[in-house]
Amino acid sequence: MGLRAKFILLLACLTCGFMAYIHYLVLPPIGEQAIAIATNAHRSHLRLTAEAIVPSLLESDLAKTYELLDAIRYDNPDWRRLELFSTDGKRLYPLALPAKASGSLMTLEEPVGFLSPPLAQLKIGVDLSRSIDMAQALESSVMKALAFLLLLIMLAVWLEVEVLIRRPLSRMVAAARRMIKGDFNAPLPARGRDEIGELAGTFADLRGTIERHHIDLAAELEAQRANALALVEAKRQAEHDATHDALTGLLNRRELERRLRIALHEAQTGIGSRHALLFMDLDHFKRVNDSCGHPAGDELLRNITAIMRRCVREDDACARMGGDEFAILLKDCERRVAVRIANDICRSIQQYRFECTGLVFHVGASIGIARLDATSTSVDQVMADADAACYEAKRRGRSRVEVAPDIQPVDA
Amino acid sequence: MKPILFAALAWLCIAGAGVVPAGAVHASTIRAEVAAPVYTMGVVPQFEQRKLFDIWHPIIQALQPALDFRLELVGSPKIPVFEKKFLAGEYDFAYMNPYHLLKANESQGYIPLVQDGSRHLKGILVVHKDSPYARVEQLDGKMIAFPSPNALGASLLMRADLESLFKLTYFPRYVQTHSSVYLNVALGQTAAGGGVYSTLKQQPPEVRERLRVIYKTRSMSPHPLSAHPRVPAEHREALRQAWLKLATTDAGRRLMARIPMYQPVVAQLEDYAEMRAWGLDRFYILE
Repeated sequence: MGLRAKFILLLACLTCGFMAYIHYLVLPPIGEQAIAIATNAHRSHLRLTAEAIVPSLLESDLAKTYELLDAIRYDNPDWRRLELFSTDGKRLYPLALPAKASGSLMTLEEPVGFLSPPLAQLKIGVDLSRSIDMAQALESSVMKALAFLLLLIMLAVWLEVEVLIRRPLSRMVAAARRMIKGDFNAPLPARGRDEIGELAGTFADLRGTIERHHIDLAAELEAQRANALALVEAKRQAEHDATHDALTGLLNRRELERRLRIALHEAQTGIGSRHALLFMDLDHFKRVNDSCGHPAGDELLRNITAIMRRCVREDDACARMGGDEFAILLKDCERRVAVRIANDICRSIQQYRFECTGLVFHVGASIGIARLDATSTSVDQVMADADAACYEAKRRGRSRVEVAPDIQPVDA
Repeated sequence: MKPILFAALAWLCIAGAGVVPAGAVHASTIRAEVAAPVYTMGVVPQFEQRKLFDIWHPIIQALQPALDFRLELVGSPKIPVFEKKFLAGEYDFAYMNPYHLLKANESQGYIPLVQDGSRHLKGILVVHKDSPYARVEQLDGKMIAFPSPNALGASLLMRADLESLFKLTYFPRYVQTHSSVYLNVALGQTAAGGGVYSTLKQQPPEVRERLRVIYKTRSMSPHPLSAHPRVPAEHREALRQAWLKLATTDAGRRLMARIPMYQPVVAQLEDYAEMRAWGLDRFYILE
């Protein structure tokens, strides 16, 4: 429940409470007193009436008594019943039995005469409904006026609180919420000399400070993030450099050996895992280096790398062992597939022509294939087998593929 | 300057000419007024002063043109005061009840001039209609209400009859007015009450219907308009004639009916003579 609702509830409770207090505790005694005053007035008038008819009653002048009582009754419309009784209880006035008056009447009696026993007894039935109606009308008017006045006062107080307290607080709350989201431009209440004004001013100062710190922090954060990104990139690059050949982008020897160890472990522990290792040595590479220089040799190596990538599968790992020596780990590869891939590489390289400084060079590739399966004993052993097969390919005329340990010639 | 003086003189002459004739007329009027006597007329206060004046003033105004004297209406607050005044002869003319006439005649020699020839006065004795009383004799030892001791028909005449003719013993209660008598009887406060027909007829129906008349007194001639003997005979006769002449007109009859005097006729002392033998003096209380 917001401040507005709480305050309205409070004002409503106060108003209702005050009105109830007036209605139940203040006005009823006043109304009763008004009725008592009216009753006493009637009683007093009755006493005067009794005194007025004493002389005529003393003279037994009933006509005069009737005249007086008729006039008094005419002057007192609230006296619905007026009767005079003799000391022996006989009705002297009025002559005829009066009709029963409707409604409840208050009965008052007064002895006539100053001695005991009295001359007669005067009895009236007073209709207090008019007095009661007036008292009720007065009460109603007072309640309405009070209600109206209270309403005005409450409205004024509510407006005052709304304008001076709730709205400024609400704006500050909205500004705080926007500040949380990073928006420091929400409108704030104006500064003032009262408490809310001071709070608004202090809030504005606080927001300014936070905004400055936020900006600095954001810049710092940005810098840190940039720094972190750079570090991550550097780490990634370092990791990459640690495992890859800078010239060709292929894996380096160390990384290949690591992968070979993993593959060997898989082969030795896995069910039916067979891998193959290709060792490739470029033929006539030195001639390019010697003729065109090391940059051309580097370019040739990069081109050969591209050729190799086109021939191998996606999961195959190509590595540069050093110089013009390359190795390819063919994961989950049968002998037949390994031979095919090796032949593709060999053929592609054989068909490749490298041009530099106006010269065209033909290079080839001697490839040795070694198995890597459960029978393999170690990485060194596999590498030695592949190397030996590569050597055999060179011995047998280059640009060909040999498979270890079964050294069977396979035409390219 | 001269024209102004001339104009002022002329104005004074004209004003003087206007004053002199006016003065001459005024003097003649004064002489006329000095010549015409003014007679007082007293009326018995049967009603309150305003009503009395309302009844008698128009009659006097109607009579005035036919008279070469002036009549001045004089009121009295109460009957005892009126009685004392006419017994002292303070009224030149007086309208009074028959018994008053006898006393006034004895005291000052008042002479009756006119009376109402259409009726006779008599008192009535009323009882509650549900009461067991049917005859006067049954009221022996009972309380009887009367207006006042000297009310002619209702009290004086009635008491004379009750005591002289019926030898009745009763307790009188004087209740001031005729209306009060009837109320006392209707409410059972007294066994009976004395009144007159004219006042009984004036009572509201709820009072009349509760009463029953059981006795009527001897009758007498009604109230006369009388004159003190010091009033010259020609003036006495002039008033009588003017009165009788006024009574011949519709307007005059309407005025006189309010007195009430429905049929004015000449009144004489002999009309009231038999009352002397009724012994009313015994019942009259001079206050």
